[in-house]
Amino acid sequence: MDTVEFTLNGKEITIRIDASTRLLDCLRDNFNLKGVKEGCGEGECGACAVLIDGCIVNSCLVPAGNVNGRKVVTIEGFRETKRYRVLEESFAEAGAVQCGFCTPGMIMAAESLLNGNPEPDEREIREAISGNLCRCTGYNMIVEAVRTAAAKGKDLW
Amino acid sequence: MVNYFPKTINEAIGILNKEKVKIIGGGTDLMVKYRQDAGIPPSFACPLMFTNRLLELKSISIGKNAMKIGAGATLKHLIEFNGTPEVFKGILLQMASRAIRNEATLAGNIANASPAGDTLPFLYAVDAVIKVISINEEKEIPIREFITGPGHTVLNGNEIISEIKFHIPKITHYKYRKAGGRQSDAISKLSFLGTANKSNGIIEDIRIAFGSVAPTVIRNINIESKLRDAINANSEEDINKSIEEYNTLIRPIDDQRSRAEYRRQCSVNLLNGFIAMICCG
Repeated sequence: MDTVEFTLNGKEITIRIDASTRLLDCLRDNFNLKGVKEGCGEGECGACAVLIDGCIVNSCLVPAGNVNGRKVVTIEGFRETKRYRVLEESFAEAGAVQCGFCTPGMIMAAESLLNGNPEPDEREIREAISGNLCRCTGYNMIVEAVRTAAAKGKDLW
Repeated sequence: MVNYFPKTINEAIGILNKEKVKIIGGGTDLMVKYRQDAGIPPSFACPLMFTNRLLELKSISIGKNAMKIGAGATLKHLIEFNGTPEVFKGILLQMASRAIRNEATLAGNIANASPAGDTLPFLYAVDAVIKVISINEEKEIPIREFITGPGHTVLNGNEIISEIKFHIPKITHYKYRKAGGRQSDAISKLSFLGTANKSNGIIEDIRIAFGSVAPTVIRNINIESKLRDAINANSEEDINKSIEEYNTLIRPIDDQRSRAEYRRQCSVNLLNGFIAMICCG
């Protein structure tokens, strides 16, 4: 067992855990954060995406030992922000949520994009979500949602 | 099992000298390679040594036209670094996904030694040198000697990659193409990199590397010299001879991603396209 110290959704955390544990399992099982999904377990689908130090990361590929001293934000933490509310509204308006399984990861990808590029064009949006798979929407509605959020949330990003 | 979190390089090589451990940087390959069922940690057979906080390994620099990349530098940092050659940046942006690039390291892609390693054709083309350190010594190993086969390198158990370095060649023309199943998160079916330095209508330097079509990257400086001379002499016959020589080196396999014949034909097509490009442009 190892000691891992990190910030999780704004709270300082110290946990005793095998440092090789997937961050995905740590979040779901140790912290009951079920918004982080396992779609593939291989870093190909993006359903497990979280933000580490503001950047999108696939939590299925991160050993818990690698989050020492870093800031992890899951959809549950991001949900409390104004930026999330703009994204939520935009996703709903655009019909970008069907089964919802990819949605937490897509929101993380959108936040990661807008955080560094508040006015992305369509190509940049598509590139930003290219690590996230969606079986339902065909992606166009998600692209539209991110475009709408960028326009609505001009002062937020 | 005790895992290690060294804070300095000296601490790291001391650990490597005493115990068999697995070095883990970003973890983006290893966490898949050793994965088990959901909820169960990956099955590493020995302790891990986490290197992602070794700040000494994270630097990237350019000096005297040579680039030095610390083993802990992520692909994200390489992309964002001002001096990264345009051709290399373009290759990195087609690799994996943003989420993976934010954690993955160049050293990890090298140590993984996959025949499909995305960074490898470029590193072979620029004759990259891998700096390896242990408690006893420091070594600099050319990449074509460092990787010996699929998944195999000459790295000993008590050694760690500290740095990757290469001289940046003058490049006036280049072509990189990765054929994969999707735009992102694709392991390449094949990849092709051609670079050239053309000045006053003369090709002064040409470098060609093929990925995913042999156990290791294909690069042959003898054929490059002949091809360069053939292009400069405008000899279609000699150009075709060089293409045929590459064709004998290309040894693709059938696997779940692609068929050997597709890989072969596509690689030769890309080579032809590159030659046409530098002849005309």
